[in-house]
Amino acid sequence: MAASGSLRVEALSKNYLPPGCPPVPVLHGVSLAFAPGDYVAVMGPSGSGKSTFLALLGCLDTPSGGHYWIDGDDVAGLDSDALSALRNRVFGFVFQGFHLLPRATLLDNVALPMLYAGRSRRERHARAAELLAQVGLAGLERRYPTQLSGGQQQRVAIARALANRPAWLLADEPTGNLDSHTSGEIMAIFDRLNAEGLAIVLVTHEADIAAHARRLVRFADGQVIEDRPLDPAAATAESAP
Amino acid sequence: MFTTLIAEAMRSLGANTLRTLLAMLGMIIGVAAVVLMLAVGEGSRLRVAETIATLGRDILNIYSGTPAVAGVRTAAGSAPTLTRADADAIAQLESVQAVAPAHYGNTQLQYGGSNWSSSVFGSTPEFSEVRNWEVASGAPLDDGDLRTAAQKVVLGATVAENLFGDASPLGKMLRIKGQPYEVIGVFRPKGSNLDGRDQDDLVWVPLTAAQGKLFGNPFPGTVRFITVKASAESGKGVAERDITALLRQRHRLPADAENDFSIRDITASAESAAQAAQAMSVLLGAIASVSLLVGGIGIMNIMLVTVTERTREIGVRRAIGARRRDILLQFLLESLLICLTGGVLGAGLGVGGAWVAAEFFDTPVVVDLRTAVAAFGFSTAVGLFFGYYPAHRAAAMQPVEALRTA
Repeated sequence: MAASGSLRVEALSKNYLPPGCPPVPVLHGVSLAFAPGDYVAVMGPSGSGKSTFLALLGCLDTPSGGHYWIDGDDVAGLDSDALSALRNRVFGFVFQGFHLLPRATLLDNVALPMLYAGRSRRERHARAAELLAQVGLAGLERRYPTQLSGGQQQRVAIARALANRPAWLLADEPTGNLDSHTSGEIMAIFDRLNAEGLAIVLVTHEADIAAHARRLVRFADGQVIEDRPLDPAAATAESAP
Repeated sequence: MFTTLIAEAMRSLGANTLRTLLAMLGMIIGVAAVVLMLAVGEGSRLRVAETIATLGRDILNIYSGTPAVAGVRTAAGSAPTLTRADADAIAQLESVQAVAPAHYGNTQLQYGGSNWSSSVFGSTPEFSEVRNWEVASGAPLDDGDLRTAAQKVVLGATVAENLFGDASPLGKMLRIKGQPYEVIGVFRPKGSNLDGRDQDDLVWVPLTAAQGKLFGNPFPGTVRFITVKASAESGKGVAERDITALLRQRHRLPADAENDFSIRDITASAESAAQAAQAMSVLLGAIASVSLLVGGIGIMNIMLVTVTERTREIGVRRAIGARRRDILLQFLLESLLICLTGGVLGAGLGVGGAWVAAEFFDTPVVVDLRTAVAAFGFSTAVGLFFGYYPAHRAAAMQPVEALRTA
């Protein structure tokens, strides 16, 4: 994708407005910058705002205050269609619950973002098959998500996230529903993708998963309390056995 | 892209077949009702129009007799005041195209061993033009027949069939009141009129023969009634005014006297029947539209349930780059697909119902291209109208909130 995708947020805040109650602040005063190719783990206890932060970063939600620039462009000025285009081409999403469409084949699931990007049917199918092969699911194009294990479903979700060659992969607890062995396989794919230049922001509460990243951002009570580089060698050593 | 969307819509609808079929059933019934009502309404409109055409255009009947004498209304024709001379004078009017004075009675016809009771009309050669009676085989009566009071007769189709069966009656002699008459022609059949009376049950003889030989006449020279065809340019209204003025003058009526004749527009009753048929078909159409409306509400209901059920799917689609209009299109397409399929099936059912009505209940129906267009149009309109709100709701969801839904 053309966008190199440097991301910067400043004094970002988000309030939830439960009906009939005073607004509940979830994030306040978050300022961070991410460079192309980054590999960032976001950690923090439940309710610390880390998932909300990821949703704001991926333009799934709009902030209550503060600024967000993608490649120097202020996101606040973009309309709904432009945000859709960003989600379609600049970001790829991987969720804890996989979120595949149950009635579509794996091939159609992976091809879906390309449908919204307006690519031809032939192009979509060729690329989707190639992506499924990349995540180790060659030959399963005609299967349905319910016929797969959790690990396989998450691989399909990763393939789908990569469909339009995004600059950023945003993952919210991608291994939260998986056993440790399968988690390791998924993280190996993430490591490889990052090595190939894809920037990754990964929300997790498992330290050994976070250890795959090169940078750790820790949230508590809606604020960043820690932001430090990680030693990639440690992660490699950890996942080696 | 579009074929993919249609395939997706079909897949979603196929995932819940029973629900889709039930929603469709409302459309099927609604469209079938509309199609059936259109077919029946158009059929009865056409039947009325055809009947009016058989009566002839711009026709007035003049009967002798005062509409009311000293406050007592007597039946028209009871006091004979119209004469052939009146008819000849009327024929000279600018606003009149043709005139046929008539004398008639009901009597027994006889041929070989067959008997048939029918109306015998004695009239002039103009009768066939004025009353729109076309001679299908043989020849009409002419001026010579009228002058000589020739014993010749032209038969209505019903009479010909009952007396002669399949054999040609031309040249045969039949007996009217025991007098021999030669059959010289047969009228083209008109069918029954709006009251269900058989119009083809009549025979035509020269006026002079009817007056002089068949029915006699206590008031010589008078006729029972005069049928007038108004000229197309001036129309019935002008002709009626001119005839009234002429007859009042000829009958020497003082200005304060009532008419001693009455003029009736014989197509007027047919036209009011046409209006009644029109009103009926509008009413039936309105009822059918209500069932279509109910079907549409059913679709809206199902689509709202579908949207709620698939909130997560909508969230996923939005997260991977679907724009609002993509979601809108997706759900509109689904409701449109239900409605169009229902529309096609409903149109089939409606046409089938129309066929049954025509075949077994002898109801006049007309099924044409407009029916298909109407069914297509109605189901598209219902699909778009009732599908829009649910689709709009789906499209308006915030991605993050849709995703959070369990």
